[in-house]
Amino acid sequence: MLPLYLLTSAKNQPILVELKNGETLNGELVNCDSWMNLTLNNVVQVSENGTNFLKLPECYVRGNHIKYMRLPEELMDYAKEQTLLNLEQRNRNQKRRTGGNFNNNRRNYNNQGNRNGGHNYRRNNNNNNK
Amino acid sequence: MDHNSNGGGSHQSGHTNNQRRRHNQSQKPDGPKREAILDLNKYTEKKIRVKFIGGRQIIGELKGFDQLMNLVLKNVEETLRDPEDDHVLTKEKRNYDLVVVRGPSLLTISPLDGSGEIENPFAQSTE
Amino acid sequence: MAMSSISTFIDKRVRVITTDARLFEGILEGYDNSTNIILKSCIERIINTSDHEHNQTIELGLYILRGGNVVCIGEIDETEFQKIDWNKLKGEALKGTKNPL
Repeated sequence: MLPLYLLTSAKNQPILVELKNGETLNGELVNCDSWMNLTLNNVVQVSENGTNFLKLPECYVRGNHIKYMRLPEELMDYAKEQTLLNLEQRNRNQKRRTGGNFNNNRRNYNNQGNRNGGHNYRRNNNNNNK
Repeated sequence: MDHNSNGGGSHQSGHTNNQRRRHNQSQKPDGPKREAILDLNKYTEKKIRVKFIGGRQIIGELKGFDQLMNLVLKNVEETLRDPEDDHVLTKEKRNYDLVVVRGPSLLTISPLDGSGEIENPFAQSTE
Repeated sequence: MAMSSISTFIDKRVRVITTDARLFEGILEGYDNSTNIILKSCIERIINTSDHEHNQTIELGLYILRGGNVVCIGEIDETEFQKIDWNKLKGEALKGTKNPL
């Protein structure tokens, strides 16, 4: 399991983020990107010394300044389930795509035919005439 | 002949399209996004609080931005820090008219609207 | 290649030291090529120097640690580990290895 995959499956979940400056952000994960930049909703920002609490309706956080993130414990199982489901979905797509591949192959074949002296072209043309 | 090359062209473009789509799918099935996750449009002409790597903090009206998250802010107010202790913000302010914020030195962006100091909401959960 | 050794730790209990001189333990559920790591059932251990302060273990749950903060990851030998009385152990605090950015 890749950390960023786990993180993406944590969307809409409450998470805790500690930044390198010691500040912590508690909020609901809205989105994340491949640099681990985050957008959070309903954030409570706690200062480094733990004395000031700031409420923010939303917040964008730079990924490279994150120290760690705490996620709901049950998320791991959920994420594993999701990857399995995705795998199945992909397999199903692949099957569908191999069907598509057949088409592609035929196209290639056609192109080859074109290169080989426009054999197909003449045939296509005939079809058009019909 | 024209007809022929045209036909081939359309086939080829269809093929590459297909390939691209497939490539995308295999690369990012459910992984994190590559495009912007924050729509800065919703903050334009609004006051935002920007924190920088290094600890400085400003509030200003968002006038413009780009893909790299460089920002243009107007009527900016920097909250100055205690010179003795970088972590402590003071009541002191410093004002700027127009500011360009470099994207790479950004730490957090949040709208000022609806934000504010609150009492410890984790009062019983913090040890 | 550099990451090949970390793969042997997967699904095992590991101990991680971070740049801010903290000590984490958890089951390594995953990692990527910037050494971001997932620790399941993560705990933090706080070991004190003096006798009148109690050592603490804090249950943290599921954690993602960012690679830039990880100093080292070591596999835990459970049999050796159980011989250690973590409440009695004393130790000096580690010094932080602060990374700019």
